[in-house]
Amino acid sequence: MKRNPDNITSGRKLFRPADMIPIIILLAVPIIYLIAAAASEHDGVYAEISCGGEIVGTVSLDKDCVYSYPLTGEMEFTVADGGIRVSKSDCPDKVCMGAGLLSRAGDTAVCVPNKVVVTVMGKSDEDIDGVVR
Amino acid sequence: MRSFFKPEKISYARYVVVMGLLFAVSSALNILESAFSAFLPAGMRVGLSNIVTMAAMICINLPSALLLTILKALMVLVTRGFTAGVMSFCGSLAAFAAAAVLFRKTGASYILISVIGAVFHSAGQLAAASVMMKTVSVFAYGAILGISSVITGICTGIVLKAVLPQMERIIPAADNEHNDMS
Repeated sequence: MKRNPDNITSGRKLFRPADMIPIIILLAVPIIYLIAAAASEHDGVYAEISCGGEIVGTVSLDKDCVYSYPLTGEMEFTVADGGIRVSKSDCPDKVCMGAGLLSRAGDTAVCVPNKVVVTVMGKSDEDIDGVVR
Repeated sequence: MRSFFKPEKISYARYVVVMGLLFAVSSALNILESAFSAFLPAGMRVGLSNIVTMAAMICINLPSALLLTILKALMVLVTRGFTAGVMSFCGSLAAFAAAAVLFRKTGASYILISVIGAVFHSAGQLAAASVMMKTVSVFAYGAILGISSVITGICTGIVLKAVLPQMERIIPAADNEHNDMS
């Protein structure tokens, strides 16, 4: 180690101008990605609900309804206002519910403890099937 | 006797006290953080307890910082469940590795070390989540977590710099230690 043991903070600065470059890159890449994603977004047509990587249900966003599936346990998915939200979950963090209303193609809510992913999809000719409660 | 964790300049008694103190602080910060990150979207966290790990890395040594990282992940495992524990472990290990490389190999500023640590923390967590869930959908959160990591990294870097002088007071350099004990 090069640093002087008598002074822990020796030499190292709070901020160097050269460090702006990696920080700006790290900020710019996700911002550009988000802008590009927002520009190409379309209204969602249906949502795919998957558990552990397997699709357990595909629901239309046209019809307001509450869905639940045996595989996803206590979770409830509510379709309203042209979007879908996780309206009930037994996970500790509720990150999935915090994602709010998902209405545009590509919007995603993830519940890691329950291994559940809700993704909104754009146009498709797939058949819609869901379990109505 | 040489210890893998304890630097020679610190007495055993002081080392045990300092490590216990740092672990307590990081646990307390972790719980405090859980309370108010409920209001943040997409599983964002401020990463306050990372300050403790980085301070230990700078003021004590790398093995001690690694020990604190693992202890913190075990604490999360016990208090917030298996999933949160595994994600915390992968995230903080990635953050530790990235910060350690920057700290030992470069003259990067505290803010940069902290920002890179935060970004790697998020990346490690997303990787752990995608393996556990067998899906890459979790990376949908990547962009928003990346932006929040940079912002929180800048904040924790400033706090880190502010607490270092206090760390220096509880972990004095070799010469001071002898006077302290006499």
